Amino acid sequence: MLNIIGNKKIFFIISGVLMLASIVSLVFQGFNLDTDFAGGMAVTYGINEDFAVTDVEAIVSEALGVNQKASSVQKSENNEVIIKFGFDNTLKTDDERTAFSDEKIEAITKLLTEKYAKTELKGQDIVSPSTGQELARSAVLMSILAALAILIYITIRFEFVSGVCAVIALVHDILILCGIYSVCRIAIDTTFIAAILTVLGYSINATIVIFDRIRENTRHAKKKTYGEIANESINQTIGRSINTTVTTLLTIGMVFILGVTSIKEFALPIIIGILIGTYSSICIAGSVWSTWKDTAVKSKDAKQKA
Amino acid sequence: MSRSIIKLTAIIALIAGLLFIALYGLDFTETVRFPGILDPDGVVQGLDLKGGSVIVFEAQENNPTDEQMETVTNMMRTRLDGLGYTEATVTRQGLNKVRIEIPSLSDPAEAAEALGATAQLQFIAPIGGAAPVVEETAETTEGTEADETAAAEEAEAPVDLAAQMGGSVILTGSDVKDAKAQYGPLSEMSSNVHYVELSFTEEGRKKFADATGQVITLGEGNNFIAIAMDNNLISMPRVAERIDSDTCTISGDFTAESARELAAQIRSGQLPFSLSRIELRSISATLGDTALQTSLLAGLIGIILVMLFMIAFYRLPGFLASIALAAYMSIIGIILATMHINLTLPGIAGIILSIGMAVDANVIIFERIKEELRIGKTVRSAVDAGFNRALSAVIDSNITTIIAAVILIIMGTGTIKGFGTTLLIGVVISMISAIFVTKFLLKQMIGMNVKNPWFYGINKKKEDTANA
Repeated sequence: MLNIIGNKKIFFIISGVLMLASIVSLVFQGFNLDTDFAGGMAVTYGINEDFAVTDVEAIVSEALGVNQKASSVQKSENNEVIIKFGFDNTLKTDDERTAFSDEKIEAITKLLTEKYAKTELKGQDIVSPSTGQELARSAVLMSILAALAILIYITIRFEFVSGVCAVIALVHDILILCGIYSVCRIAIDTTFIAAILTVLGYSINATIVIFDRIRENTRHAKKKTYGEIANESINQTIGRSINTTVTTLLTIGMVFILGVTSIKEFALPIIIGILIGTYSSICIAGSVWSTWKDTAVKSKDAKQKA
Repeated sequence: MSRSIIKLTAIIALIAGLLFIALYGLDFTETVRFPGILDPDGVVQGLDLKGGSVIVFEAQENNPTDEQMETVTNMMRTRLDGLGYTEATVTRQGLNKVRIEIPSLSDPAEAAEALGATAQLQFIAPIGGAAPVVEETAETTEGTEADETAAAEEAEAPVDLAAQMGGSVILTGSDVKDAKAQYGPLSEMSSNVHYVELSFTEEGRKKFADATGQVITLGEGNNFIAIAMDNNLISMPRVAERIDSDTCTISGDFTAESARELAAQIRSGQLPFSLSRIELRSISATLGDTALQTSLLAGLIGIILVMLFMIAFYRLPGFLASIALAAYMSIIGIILATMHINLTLPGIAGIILSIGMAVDANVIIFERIKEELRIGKTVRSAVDAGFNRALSAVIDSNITTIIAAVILIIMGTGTIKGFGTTLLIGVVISMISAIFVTKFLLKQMIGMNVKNPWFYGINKKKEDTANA
């Protein structure tokens, strides 16, 4: 039997450090926001012949003019190139931005076609900065609502303490996932919101299976401490925790390996989040729960003695 | 035992049948049919898969009324139809935005410009213009102020309706104060009908009185005033008398809906705000197709890996879970094809993800069965106990995922909504298939006397004797 609860201090320290680092990174450097959030253009061209990224970069800077710079020019499979650039900061209205984006994209298309005859415009995303702010607000709102709804559900089906612990594990997972994205400067897009909500659902799912076992074992074992019950329950369900993680990673992992760029960007945070979620449900949720419950018992005993 | 074999064969045949229906659909007759996922009209592919454009316009007004936004969506609908994009959809998004999705259009800049233009409402009377000949002559005719601005702003417009009809513009959107759909008697004697009531500004009233005064002198067939939006004719009421009033009514064979539609179209000509394009996305069909192909391949390999893993780890129950997984995939396919759910790229990812999670319920149950076997129960009672004890964990853990999915569906837009929908369907169906299908299959196995715990993932010798 693995002694998870006995080693809870180690897990608390690991998680504490990771969460602190995440907060520091999020506060001081924030996210690397992609087009959907920051506003800007992402244009995909099929060049349809071999090309050098530096050549395309030169074309893009020529088309954009002196004051503007592409934020990234990225070559992807099938001789495609994804060009990203922002709006001119001096533009005030959405109508001015519309004119700006259309003009620049047309210029890039023209120059690219001159150099590579078979060039075709395969896709474009033009997003006003105001859209991104709204998106970010709705993302935060969705996560808070989901967490609240889950807290209420667990309080009804289990108890309030379990609900709070599950939500702590949840916040832990999402905070560290966001922290990793902030530290590694991975650009985040709309799909990141969906990924976070998925991780939220998955992580809670794993935690509930353990709490369900704790609920069952508490009925039978009156003389054990909550720490012992939690440890026993975690061990009884660890096979499930690991196997479900494996099957889920098998499928989403294949999506990551084989998928196109946009879907890879979606699969990656889910993979990272599932790993963190599995760790937190095994090592954190039960530990926090048993610490809370045992402390409550001790203080109750102390009061009775006094 | 023989009954179990019959039942087992029956359910496997049923699952095979489901799989067939999911792929090829079910055609009773030409018209009464359910499309399969391989039928061209089966799954509704999102724009990110089949290619197309999304354009979002925002009203330059923080709190437009619902009526104004309805006017905007109606106007967009009319314009899309005018441009030939009859398959396009228009939906309101948030308080002051409209989202337009146009399938198969990969370079939407021009369409976006036409859609976002300030609406040009024109009242055209067959007076003062040249004869209905060619455009050039029409543009040289002396016209009103409104005529000139219209000509300047729509220099590229393919048709100048006023010129084509040989008339001139007598009123524009700025002369109309309001348009309302009404229901009631037009005169004291007549019965209730649907009609549209226009009210004019002071200026508009004068212009309209002048124009109607002239129109009634024209003979039958020419005594009309045409109402056009962006050079598309929307109504052509006949004028019976000179109208010098703040209001006028347009009557005809209106239904409640058509009267409302006309009123909304006229109102869009005098929206108190302009529209700005804040989002434009497009994707070509080839890019979408690559995305679809690779995702399907990933899904297929993922399923096979999950099945192999389950069989290696749980043996017989794992094999049965794989059969249940096939049932699950078939049901998902049938739902996608028959309910015409809009399948987006993240939506496919949601389904593939749900395959991995679908076996979760089975994993919880099988782990429990193993536990029960280890404490010495017979296979039959271990399976019963395993299912009963695991049920609460399966239900509680799935409901929390359902909560997250529902929030995505309610609050998300576009691709996020699509992902939420498939995730929800996936979780609900997987729960059902894991609980009922797998349980049924396992019962038949026990009925066929497959009772050696080895088949259920137990290795130790000691535990083998527990079956005796």
